[in-house]
Amino acid sequence: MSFRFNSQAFEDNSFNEKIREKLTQALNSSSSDSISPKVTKTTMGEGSKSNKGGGESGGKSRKFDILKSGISVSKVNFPTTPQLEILDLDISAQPRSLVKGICKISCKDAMLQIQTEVEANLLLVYSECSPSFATPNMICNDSFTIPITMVFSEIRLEAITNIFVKHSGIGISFNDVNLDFKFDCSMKILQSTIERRLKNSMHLLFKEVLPSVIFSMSQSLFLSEASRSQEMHNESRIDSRQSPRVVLDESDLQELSPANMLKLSTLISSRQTLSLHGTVLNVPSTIPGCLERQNLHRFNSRIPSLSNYYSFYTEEKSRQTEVKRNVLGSSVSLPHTLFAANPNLLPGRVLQEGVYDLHTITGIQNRIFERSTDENERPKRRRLKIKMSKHKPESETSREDEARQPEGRTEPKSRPQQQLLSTFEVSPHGQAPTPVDIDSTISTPAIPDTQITSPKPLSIRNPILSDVEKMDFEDTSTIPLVTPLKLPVSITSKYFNCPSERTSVQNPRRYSSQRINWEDPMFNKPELSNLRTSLYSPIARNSLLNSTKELPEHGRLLDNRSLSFVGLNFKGGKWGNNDDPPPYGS
Amino acid sequence: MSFDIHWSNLESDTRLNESIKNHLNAYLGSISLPSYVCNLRILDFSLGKIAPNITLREISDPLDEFYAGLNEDEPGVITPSPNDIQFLVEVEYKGDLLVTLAAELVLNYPSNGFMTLPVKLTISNVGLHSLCLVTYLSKRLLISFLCDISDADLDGNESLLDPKGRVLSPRRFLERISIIRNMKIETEIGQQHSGEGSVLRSVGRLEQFLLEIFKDFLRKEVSWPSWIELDFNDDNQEDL
Repeated sequence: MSFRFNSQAFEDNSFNEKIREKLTQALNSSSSDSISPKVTKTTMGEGSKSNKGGGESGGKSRKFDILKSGISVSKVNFPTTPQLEILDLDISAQPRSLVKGICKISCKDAMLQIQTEVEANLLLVYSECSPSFATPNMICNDSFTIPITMVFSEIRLEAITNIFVKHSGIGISFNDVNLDFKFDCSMKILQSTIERRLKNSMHLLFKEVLPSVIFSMSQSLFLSEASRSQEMHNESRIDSRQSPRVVLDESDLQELSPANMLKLSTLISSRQTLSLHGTVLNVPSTIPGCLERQNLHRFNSRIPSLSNYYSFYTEEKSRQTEVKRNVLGSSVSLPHTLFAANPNLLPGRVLQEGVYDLHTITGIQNRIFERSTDENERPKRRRLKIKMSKHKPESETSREDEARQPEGRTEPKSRPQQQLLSTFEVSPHGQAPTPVDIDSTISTPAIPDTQITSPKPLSIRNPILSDVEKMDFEDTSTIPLVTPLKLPVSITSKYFNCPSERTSVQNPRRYSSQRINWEDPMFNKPELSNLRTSLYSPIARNSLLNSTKELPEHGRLLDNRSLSFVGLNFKGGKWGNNDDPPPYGS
Repeated sequence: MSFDIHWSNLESDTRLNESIKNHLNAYLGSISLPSYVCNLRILDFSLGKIAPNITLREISDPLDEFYAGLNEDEPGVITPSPNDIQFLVEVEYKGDLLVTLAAELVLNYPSNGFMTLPVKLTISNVGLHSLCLVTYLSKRLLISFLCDISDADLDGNESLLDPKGRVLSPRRFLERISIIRNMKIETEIGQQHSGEGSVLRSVGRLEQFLLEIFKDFLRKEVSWPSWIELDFNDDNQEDL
């Protein structure tokens, strides 16, 4: 047995007493209320009644009248502790059920004795139901009271049950019930009938009665929580009642802007048909600030994170896989999983080379905290009072820390200042060259040194970049809300940098490299870290237009691309077998 | 590694594990548990043979956030003083710490402590690699885990742990920090009684559930912008 029962409760008879009380209470309360738990008793009662011969007229409402007294459970005995074994356990975060378990219940040799009194009168005349002229004068219309004692002995029960623990209570269902008992009735004439009826109603007992009894009993355990939630319900109901309702008449509908209605209906139809009307304006892909689900991962991947910010320093491993994909041009690449598996990690190299900036890291972490929590939620900053005199386990660790401090304070007094100075010097200027650096490293394998100069537009925008990189809140407020994205520029610069012989050789790869472009670490550059303030879709048209203005000579190419962006076809017309299915339903 | 930790000294001291265990048990005995849990105790505790790696990365003045945060909930204003100091520490641990926890879930119905379900958890294989801020100012020690550091050993394990995670779910998408990047929890539910009955072992969903709860807890309590403050101020100083 995997559950342990308090064996003392079985030894000192307290359990038997408790059960006896509870059963008596349950049997009597339900006999007056006639709720489902006592269906068995009902059938039994009817059985004894009809057998007795007095049941020809007793209506449904009077069915318990034959019981003169209440039902009392006179004896309960569980000589051996029951066994409850847990066979399987499943925890789900679903709101419906918290824990689901499969248990095996078995108990042996239990005994139960029930006593009651049956009111019986063979000659009973229901004078109140019949017209007065038809009723004779009765001298005595009393009934006989016959005590009945029923003994269930050697009860053996084995059952497999499914147990669900929910917020509201415990649900239980009996699957495989094996019940056996000896039945003994003080009235031998009734014994076989009652036994037959009992066995027939056992199915009902385990399918309906017990589960509902257990559920209602468990509700008292969950009562505090349930009442609280009910209060919440009530409150919300009141709220909903008080809030003014908007009822639209037909006349109102006429006043609504037809343009808005058209937009709405377009949205609805695109939802229903899953068609995105790629070439029509005012669909999600072209509305600024509206993001299609398909692009969510791309948007997310550019949320400022440590991995993005320091993407240049990310470990070789990921870079290698990227290269591999380039070479193979494989369609197996999964951009979603690639990004999803890209947690917020500070690349180890950043630490080793000492190029990190503490304020940047705290800034990024603050932002992610804000994003992931409610506005009202504040960071938890618990305080533990530590008394120096006592030797508590927590104070031990802290003392270790403290012991460390004098060490650090005396020894490298001069060094940290140097270090600080250097970091301060580096941070404003040092970041400026980084974009160029990134470009050069990416293109070095193929491009001669002279052509590195071409990505100049990037360095022109460096003052903005460094502004963006400072993740202070005040700073971001001064920046124009929507910073133009520079993606297309970098794409084109890369394109035009490619020597012609290289493109000709690698022509078949062109599509794949286009696809990869979006996942290229180059585009995870810090300039994109500002995306959170601009709610713009990464592929919004505005940004494309901006860049075409800046670089008119690349306009034609960009136009082509932007057309393919408008639809879902931005991956270069290879929508279909190679692409991941849209991530609906995940 | 900036700190030389003579772990072998700890390891050879057999009483240490025992005393830590006793300390923790005393603490667990003193806290009040909900009515459905009882007898929470540590059965086994071992620091393991592998030392943590602690690297001092930077010593500087404490961040402004610390002052701002402390001044938020205190009447007296704490101002930066030359004695304040902040350490940026890289903590790496991939050791063989082993803790075995046991507790009993209780059903107090129909009588008190009527039915209990013993649960045993074995925690091992803890892996963490994080950047941690340790700041000391005005007799307070503030500890905050800043971020995780990429680590080939741990990152691989993490993706294995949650293969079915909802890929595009925005809430789960970018976790700020997880601190415990790797942890193995082995569960054992139930108890055999004189050789009878079955014990449920390694309930995967439960293990994952517990791990998530634990990570969430750490993320909420000790990771930047949250921190934990150890206050060494004496009482009489508090009176002032």
